Amino acid sequence: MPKSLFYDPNAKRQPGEITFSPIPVNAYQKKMRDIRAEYTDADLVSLFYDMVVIREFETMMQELRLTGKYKDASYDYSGPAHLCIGQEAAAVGQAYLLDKDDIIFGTHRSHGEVIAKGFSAIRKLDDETLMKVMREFDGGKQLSVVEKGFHGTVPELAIRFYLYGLMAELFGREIGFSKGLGNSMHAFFMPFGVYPNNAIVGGSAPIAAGAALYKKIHRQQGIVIANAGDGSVGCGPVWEALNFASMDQYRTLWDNKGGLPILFYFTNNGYGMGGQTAGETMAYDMLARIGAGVNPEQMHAERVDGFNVFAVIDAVRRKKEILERQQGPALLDVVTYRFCGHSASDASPNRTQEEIRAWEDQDALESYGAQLVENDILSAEQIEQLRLSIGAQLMELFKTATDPELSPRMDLLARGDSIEKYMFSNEPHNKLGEGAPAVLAPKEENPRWQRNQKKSRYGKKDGKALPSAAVIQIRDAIFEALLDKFYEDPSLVSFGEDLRDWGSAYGTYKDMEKSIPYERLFNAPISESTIVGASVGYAMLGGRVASELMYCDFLGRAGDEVFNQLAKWQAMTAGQLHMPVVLRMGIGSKYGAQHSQEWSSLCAHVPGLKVVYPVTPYDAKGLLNAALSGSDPVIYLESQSLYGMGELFQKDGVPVDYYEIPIGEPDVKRAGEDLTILTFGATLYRALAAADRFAEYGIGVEVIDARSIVPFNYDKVIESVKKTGKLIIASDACQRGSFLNDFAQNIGSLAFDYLDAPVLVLGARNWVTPVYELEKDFFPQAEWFLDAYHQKIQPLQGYTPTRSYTDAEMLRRGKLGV
Amino acid sequence: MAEIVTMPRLSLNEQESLLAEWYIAQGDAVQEGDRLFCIETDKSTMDVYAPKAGVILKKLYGDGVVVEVLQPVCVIGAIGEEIPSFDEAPQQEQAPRQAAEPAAQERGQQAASTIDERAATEGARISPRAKRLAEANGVAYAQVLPTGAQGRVMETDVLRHLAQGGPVQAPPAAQEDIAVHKLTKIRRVIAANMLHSLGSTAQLTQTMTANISRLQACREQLKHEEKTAGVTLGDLYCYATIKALKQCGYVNALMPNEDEIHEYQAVHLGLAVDTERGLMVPTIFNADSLGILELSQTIKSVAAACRAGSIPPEQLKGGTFTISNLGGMGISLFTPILNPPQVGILGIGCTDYKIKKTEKGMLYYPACTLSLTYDHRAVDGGPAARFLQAICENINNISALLEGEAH
Repeated sequence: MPKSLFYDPNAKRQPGEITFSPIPVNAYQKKMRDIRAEYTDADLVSLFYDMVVIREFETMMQELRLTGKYKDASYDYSGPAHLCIGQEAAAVGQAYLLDKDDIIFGTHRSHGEVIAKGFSAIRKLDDETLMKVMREFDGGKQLSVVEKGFHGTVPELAIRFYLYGLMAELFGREIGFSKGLGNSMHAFFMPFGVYPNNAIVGGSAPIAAGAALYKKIHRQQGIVIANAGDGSVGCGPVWEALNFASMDQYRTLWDNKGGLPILFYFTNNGYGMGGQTAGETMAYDMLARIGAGVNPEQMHAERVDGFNVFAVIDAVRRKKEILERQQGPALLDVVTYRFCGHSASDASPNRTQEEIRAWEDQDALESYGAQLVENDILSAEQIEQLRLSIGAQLMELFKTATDPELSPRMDLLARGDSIEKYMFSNEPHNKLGEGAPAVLAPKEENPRWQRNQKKSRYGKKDGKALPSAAVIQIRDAIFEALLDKFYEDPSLVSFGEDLRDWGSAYGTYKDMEKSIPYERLFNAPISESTIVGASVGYAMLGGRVASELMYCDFLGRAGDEVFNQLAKWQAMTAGQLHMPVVLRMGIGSKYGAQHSQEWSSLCAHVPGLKVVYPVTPYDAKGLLNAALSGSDPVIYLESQSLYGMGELFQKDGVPVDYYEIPIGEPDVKRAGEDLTILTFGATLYRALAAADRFAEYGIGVEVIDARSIVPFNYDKVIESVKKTGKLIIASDACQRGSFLNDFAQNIGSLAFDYLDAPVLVLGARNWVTPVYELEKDFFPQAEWFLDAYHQKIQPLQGYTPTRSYTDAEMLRRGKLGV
Repeated sequence: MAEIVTMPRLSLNEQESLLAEWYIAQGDAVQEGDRLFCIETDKSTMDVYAPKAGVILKKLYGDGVVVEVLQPVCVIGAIGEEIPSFDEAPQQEQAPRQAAEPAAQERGQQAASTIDERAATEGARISPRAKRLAEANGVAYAQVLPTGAQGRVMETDVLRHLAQGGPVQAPPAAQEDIAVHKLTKIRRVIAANMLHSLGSTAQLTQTMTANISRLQACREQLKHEEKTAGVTLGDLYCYATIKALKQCGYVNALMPNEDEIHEYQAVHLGLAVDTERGLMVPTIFNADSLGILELSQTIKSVAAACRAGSIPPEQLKGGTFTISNLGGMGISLFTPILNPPQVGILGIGCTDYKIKKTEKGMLYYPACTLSLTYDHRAVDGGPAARFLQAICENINNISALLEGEAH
């Protein structure tokens, strides 16, 4: 699309062939004796120590799940236990060279990576920093428990601290690193560079790509590791993330050249739960091959022997260097084996004992111990001693972490807001970064900004609507809010399909590229999962994102990223992360069943998302300003049929200057005494037309525009219903399962004694959206309001309804599910 | 084939009727012509009979329920016979005309009427808001006429009820033993009519005493003849009044709106009749054409029909003037309430004895006080007084009038 890149027919039609470089497979074969000189004895012992801790930790979890006991201590643990017994070398080798600036994202099976990366960080941080981290984390709560009666060194204390916080988290204790809201599959500790693990297979790939994007744009030190398993290669979002991290534009169009500093680290244990990847469910033969399908650099992909910790360390070192030279991304296929089942409850029906024993015979941990003995670093007795002492320490910490006095759970009865308070952070900030925002020219030089100055900011003159081209339209109001924020918040970036040059499908970004450089405004591939997932990762590192899915209908493509990632990370991290992401989506019209759906209810259903849908320029700018200054994820819906709408309600027009409309406040668009109509979205204008019709019958209608559905302040609506006693609620969403029904339930309950008729809900029919010419029979129209009123509230003198709102019709539709 | 019995429409204006009482139970066997249930319309009571023999398969309503006319009420058929569904069937008839074009193609798609049968089966419906208002004001909401969809009483209905001075009740003390009576249809109609009369006209009452010594004498004479023995004092008052109405046509008139007064040549005399169910006012059409004998007989027969509940609805309207006679019950003077759009109503009191000073000395005479309520919008005090004088003169000259009739 960019005109700077010529799409040359001669070049494109040139004959030739695509060539590949060989992809190394287990090239590194050195053993401890070969690299003895490169490591200190202490380092070699620490690698073993870390592997043993992981093995013991995972064994503890396995025993708890299988026998209800860890050694002789009983504890009923019924949470998840996706363990990595057998994979320890792959985790420890990964973490060995990582420093405090390097961060990792993990999977449901990441206890090993979490422990290894934490221990690696502890060894690299000085005592003062470690003490600071421990004192400042959660007010020093974990530290106060583990330092009692402990007289060892600071790093030893830090290891106690870390294992205790991790265990308490796994056992769902309020003193856990995430107050018990993360648990086993979502453990993390960000001060040590351990970012949230993800229980959705491949879920970390797009998020880690977004984190790497942040590091690249803000030129931060360190790399990002996206941990994933071989099974995740079957997931679309993983492929999207591989491509997103490798896009050509980083080299061809951005000033800040170079790929994203991300290493996709596939811990390849041969199985995706039960499906054997190579040989059964995948086609790659060897996972490393997929790098060749992504970019000419083949993602610097390699297969590495994950049973040889030195091979892993060597590979990570080389990939880290590539990333630091801005030649990323990179991909590692780290072959290993999981001795335990998929989870503790899995009896491994898909594997033979013969196969498991064959791998156990080559156990990396045992083989490493043997090498320590061979190389005279530790004696067999010392190794035994080490393992015993690690076991004893874990047992002590286990008892502390499961002690109801020392490590209680949240008391949701005594403190009912314990989880509630983390659902939204509600911490507005005008800007999230320091320094001057990167821009191409002063704002006043932007041609669209200049054009806007000449437009009427109110949509009417002398009571008549002005032509669309002469007024500030909704698309202009959105543009203004975004442009203002680009010039205020240096952390703000926007990406989505066709934003740059094209100006987004309906012109909201038109001419934005004249002011904002590539690295802050770029075209994403058609990868909805990663557009949202990368937004989440970018925000996790402290940035603000305004991303866009062209159509609300494409939300399904980003389902996991919106519903499981964007919505959840504030609360799953007990408020340690904020999620300042505004996800804009257009609600289409005229384009039929897959391009005209209003899916706000899906977003409202999942806790953790704010949902707004402004339909006037004044509301569009004010709500976008509020969303772009907030700290919470906001689903910002727009009607594609209304982008050209001018302001018809605020007589002073759309302010040039900054202003905010609080999210969650409905607005009375027309006052009336006899009937309240509450709308959400574009239906407003049809409700207003209905109000004109009602006036002919002497019925004064109060029309309230909800503007937001999460959160929502019911006060104004209740006040109105107390006055009118009658309520119709309408939107363009299909009626079944619509949030309108929540409104009806809540208002019906809150204003029951004031109701003079049942609350009516008018949604779109529970059909596929038909062609444009039939839309008036699908989306609520002005006369639908009168039809429903006539039949369910009070007959209108001389009115003849055209649509049925009888009980019988309601029952019929229910029976048929239509 | 099962037969659906519907609520009959007794007159063109009838929208609904009260299903007052069932004579049969569901499951009962009936013969053709057996009484099924009794209905009360605005003005009368009537029994509905079985159209065929069979078993009552289904009763759709209980006692005391208002049912829209032409709606199914019960089903008669053979045991085990399938009963049609009533969820959709009634709506078909009521489908709005417009809907008949595209929407009516789909069964059940049709928009419904104002009140469906569901409403009626569940008894009086009232919105929470209206209920709150009704309770706060001591209004028994069963007395309130609903205007809401599905027969629901709404806030405006209660407000209208209150504005019209509808009956309210003090909340009963907990220990008091009170009987709550649901208003019958006829009671509701009377209540509404009376309120309407007082609220929509400028009525006042003036009285005059008639010397009825000659009238009494005339009646004594009539009594002696077998043919005329049944003529009562009341009949004679009516006769005298009808004659006066012919003389003072401005009282034999209707004021249907604020622009017109319709003065009638013929006298269609309304006669207030006290019945067990309440006040009824049958009309004697062209009463001015009747001789005393015919008049007397007609009065007797319509009164009897009212008391029996068999008066046809058509005969409960169309009057041009009304007479209410409470003399038989010892009332000497009262203020009858107009029956709009009529502009006059005459109340006849009991026979009293009075003394008055005349040129010949003190006169002791039998007297009757006539109470004329008239609509001052239509009739002024003077003409009203002249009308009363005319009646009094007719009473005084009753024999001459009767003789004139004979010729």
